[in-house]
Amino acid sequence: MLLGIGSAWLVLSGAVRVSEERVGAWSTDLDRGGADAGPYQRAVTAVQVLLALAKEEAVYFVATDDDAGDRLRGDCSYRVDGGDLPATWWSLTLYDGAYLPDNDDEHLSVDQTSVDLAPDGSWSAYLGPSPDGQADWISTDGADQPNLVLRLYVPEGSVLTDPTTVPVPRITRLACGDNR
Amino acid sequence: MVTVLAVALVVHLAVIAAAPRVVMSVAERRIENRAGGTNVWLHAERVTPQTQEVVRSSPDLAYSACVWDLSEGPVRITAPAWDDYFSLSLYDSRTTNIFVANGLDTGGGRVDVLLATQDQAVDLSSTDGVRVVIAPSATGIALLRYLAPTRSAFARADALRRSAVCDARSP
Repeated sequence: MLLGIGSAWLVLSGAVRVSEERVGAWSTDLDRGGADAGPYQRAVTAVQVLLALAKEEAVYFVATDDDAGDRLRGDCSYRVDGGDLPATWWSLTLYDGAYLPDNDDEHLSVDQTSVDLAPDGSWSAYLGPSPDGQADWISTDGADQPNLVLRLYVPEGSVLTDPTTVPVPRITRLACGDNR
Repeated sequence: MVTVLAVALVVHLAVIAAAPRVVMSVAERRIENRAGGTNVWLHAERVTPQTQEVVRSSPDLAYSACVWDLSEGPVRITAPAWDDYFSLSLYDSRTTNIFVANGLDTGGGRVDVLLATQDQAVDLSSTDGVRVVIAPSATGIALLRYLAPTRSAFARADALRRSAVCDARSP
């Protein structure tokens, strides 16, 4: 019985991933929240992203690593460079596991309406435990398992037909620990 | 050994199959208790690390939740219009997002639906043009999302969403 419960928990906790597509450092599961979801997707959604929207309304991308393939760390700083995203509205939020990290910085996300957008739609955010004088700072302070969630609300059709075409943000590590 | 693996497989599949209903049931009870009952909106505080209650909630959105209960009849659910992204989404007892509409769908106007079971929908004599949504389960969760990434935007959205309807008595 313990084997059954343990193996189910590995799936529900995300330690064993059941269905997703990879795009750069990001992964997405288009069936999350939808009527087409299978039993594993439905169970994982309930535990990890309860009340997620169907893909026609929102598509969620998650990054736990930077573009070099190294796990995101709360004591490191990163630059996140994005372009014009194929959605009516988008946001980028930092989580610690499945929850917001325990800090009171009030800088846990940037979104299409708050970030400095260049005329071509490109933007850049700074990820780290302190602002270091950077604009569009997203705080990682207090995050032991930092991960980023990119939400694309009312995505264009191309996102649904082939999510690998989405120009996902690039995540570049700048410095860590005392070298920051 | 084979028996052990067979039992483990059955337990594994049972946990996976039960997880959505169990998690939704817990969420429904928590929302219902805080709202003071079913078919009542619970307007959540601004999402912060200190106030977050649901996994991966967004600090850029103002959320309101209502546990709908169709046992006494259809439930009218509305979402007042907002000048930025907003949506009304409905989730059944298995976590499926059975319906969603946003401001783009309504041409900038409010979202207005009448939620009913299949049997109740057959008996509806008039809906005055309100969209009827068939619910596959007697209870579930309605969720409002209003884009409000700043304190001032949240305050405006908070005032607006007080006029949202989730009511079995106004079909």
